[in-house]
Amino acid sequence: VSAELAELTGRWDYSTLPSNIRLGRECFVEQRDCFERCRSRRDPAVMLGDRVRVYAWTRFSLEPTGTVEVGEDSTLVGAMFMGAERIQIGARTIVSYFVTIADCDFHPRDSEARRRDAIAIAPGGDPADVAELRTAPVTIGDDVWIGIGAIVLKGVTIGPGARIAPGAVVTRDVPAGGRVIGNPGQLVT
Amino acid sequence: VTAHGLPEYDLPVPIPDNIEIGPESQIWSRWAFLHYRSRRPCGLRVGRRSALWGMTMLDLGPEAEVSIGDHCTMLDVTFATNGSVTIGDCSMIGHRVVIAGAAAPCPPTPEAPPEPLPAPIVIGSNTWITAGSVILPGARIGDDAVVGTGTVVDGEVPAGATAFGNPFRVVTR
Repeated sequence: VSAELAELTGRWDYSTLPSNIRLGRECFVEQRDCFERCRSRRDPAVMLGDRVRVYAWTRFSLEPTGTVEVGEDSTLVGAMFMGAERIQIGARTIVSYFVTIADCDFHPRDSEARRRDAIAIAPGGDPADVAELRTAPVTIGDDVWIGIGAIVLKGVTIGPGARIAPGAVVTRDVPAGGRVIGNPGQLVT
Repeated sequence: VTAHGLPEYDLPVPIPDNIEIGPESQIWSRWAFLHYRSRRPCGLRVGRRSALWGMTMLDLGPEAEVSIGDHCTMLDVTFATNGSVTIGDCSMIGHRVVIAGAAAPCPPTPEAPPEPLPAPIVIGSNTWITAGSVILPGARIGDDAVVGTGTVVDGEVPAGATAFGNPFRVVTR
């Protein structure tokens, strides 16, 4: 296998990751680029349990204050983590393609505050004017399936064994074993 | 891989033997075959003058077969299945559409037991499947049908109809 192909197929040197990214035993991280947007200054910032598999579509996009913890034997196919506080995922959970999980809205709802925020983050803006982040941790239990393209928003707790259907938008807590479909997400039995 | 995570044209991913690409068709990047595992006699068949653009990816299991007609455009489409997908001529699909064999598919580990094959997905000719849609097993999308953005399709969309929403609804003219 060429060195270039090894970088695409998980056979690169994991010890070159920043020290605040902790991998359990026998983890598989297909591409190093998953951590390209990890700006977290927390330690640990990312903690993956034993045998966690992270495929190419996953991105850990973390603010300096963000952390992600993933339980053992979970599979992250394409999770876009947008974190500013804490996102916690249990064991044996599957997060499918193009899923977004966010513990923050990142920009204000109020239009005037949002205008100031927009100018502050644009080229030439003053970082001191960026709006304060309002966060609420996301907690996802063991044995959960999160379907293709689903979106999980801040403050949500998803109980163990829940099934989130493809394309569902989860804005409220989901009980253990619950099934959520649609946008906005509806709990169905 | 570039700073933006986009692949270069010349990724060192090998091109599989069991594919048939018709005359004047194009595959933008070898990225498409990073997860290709089909062991069928022909795992991917593409007609003539069709293109697989951008991050289009064939995340195919050993029993998977994908067949794409002539003059089709696939832009950032992820095929993630161990079943059969058939797409007619002149269909446009993209971007960020997933055509999948399960609600939450993931690449299998070597030790995982084989799962039953998903129901086939059949997409007709001259269809237009738009951004962020998810096409699931049992989807049958008729000729000339349109699928709106973010739609999740797991059933019948009649020829000429438009499907939208999640769960999806169908309007016919």
